[in-house]
Amino acid sequence: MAKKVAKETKNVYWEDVKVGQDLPEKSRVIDTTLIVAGAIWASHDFMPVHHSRDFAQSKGAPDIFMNILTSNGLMATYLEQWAGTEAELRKINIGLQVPNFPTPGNKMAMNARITKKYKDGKDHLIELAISGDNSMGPHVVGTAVMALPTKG
Amino acid sequence: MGKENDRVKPFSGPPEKTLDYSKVAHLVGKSSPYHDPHDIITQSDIRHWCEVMQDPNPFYADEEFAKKSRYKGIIAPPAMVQTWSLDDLHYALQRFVEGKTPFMEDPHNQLTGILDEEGYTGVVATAQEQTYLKPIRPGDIIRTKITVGYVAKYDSFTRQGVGRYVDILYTFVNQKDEEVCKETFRILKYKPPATTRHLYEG
Repeated sequence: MAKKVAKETKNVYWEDVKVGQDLPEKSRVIDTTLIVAGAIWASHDFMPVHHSRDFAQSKGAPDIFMNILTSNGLMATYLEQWAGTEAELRKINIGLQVPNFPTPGNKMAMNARITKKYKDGKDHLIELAISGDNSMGPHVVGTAVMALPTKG
Repeated sequence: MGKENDRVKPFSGPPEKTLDYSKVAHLVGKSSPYHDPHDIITQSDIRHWCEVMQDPNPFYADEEFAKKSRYKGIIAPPAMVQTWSLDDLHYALQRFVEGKTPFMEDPHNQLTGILDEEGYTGVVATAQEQTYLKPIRPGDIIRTKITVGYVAKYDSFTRQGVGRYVDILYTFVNQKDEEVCKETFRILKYKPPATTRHLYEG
């Protein structure tokens, strides 16, 4: 069975990051397939605004739109892929603004900035401000806490 | 400019009936019992999630790699935690299409039932905070307790229409009764206007 799994992993160490540091931007195309697969296949969310255009329009929306669990998953994956496998996501807090609609050409650009670096017991932690912007404006704005590995 | 005339002016109608907070105040702070999930966590659930998220993390798929790690076996992405407790297709259609709220013994469902009756029939998630306390893995049975955390005393005027913000608190535990995640989920229950399309046009 073919698996899409990383063969090698790289890690970001706590000693090497700085407050104010920006993570490299990544973006995802926002289309009907991602919205429907994200809602139904990935997160088992059958609320019809996420897969039925007719239903979404009956509720006043212009089109179907991404469910919050998929938005959260995309942001979590973005952070985790930057940090590597030794890091752990401890907390993620997101607020939704403009929905992710499957408008032609729509993309969500994901960004993060390290806002705090601190220790808590044995944990070496960072706090990040995170955002995901689509072609109409901010979709996700939030914060996250991650534990990073140390070199010591 | 015929298009201009087709536009709905959401806040220009006669004053509407608004929810009296005392109808729902008794539900704030009340919890459901722990509910069992539809399914246990499986490797295929994890694969579906990782394909959509384009997440190649070997802890989620590579048994050998994961065995040698601090987790001593495959784990699921932490952000998946709520996946096993959402309404299945049958109950989702009952809740969202037929307007019949299931599991009325649960305080959060009594709350959404009252809001539906009062005309706040739309729902949209607006914020979510998850704190991850323990890894979750294939074979785990994630049970969920749902608490009404907060109901706004007054209406908000939003892009979706006139609505009421509600915080629902989730506590997720595994089969050993260990808490694996705590979540605050903020929804807007709103009165759907005919369309909001004009708000998203350039």
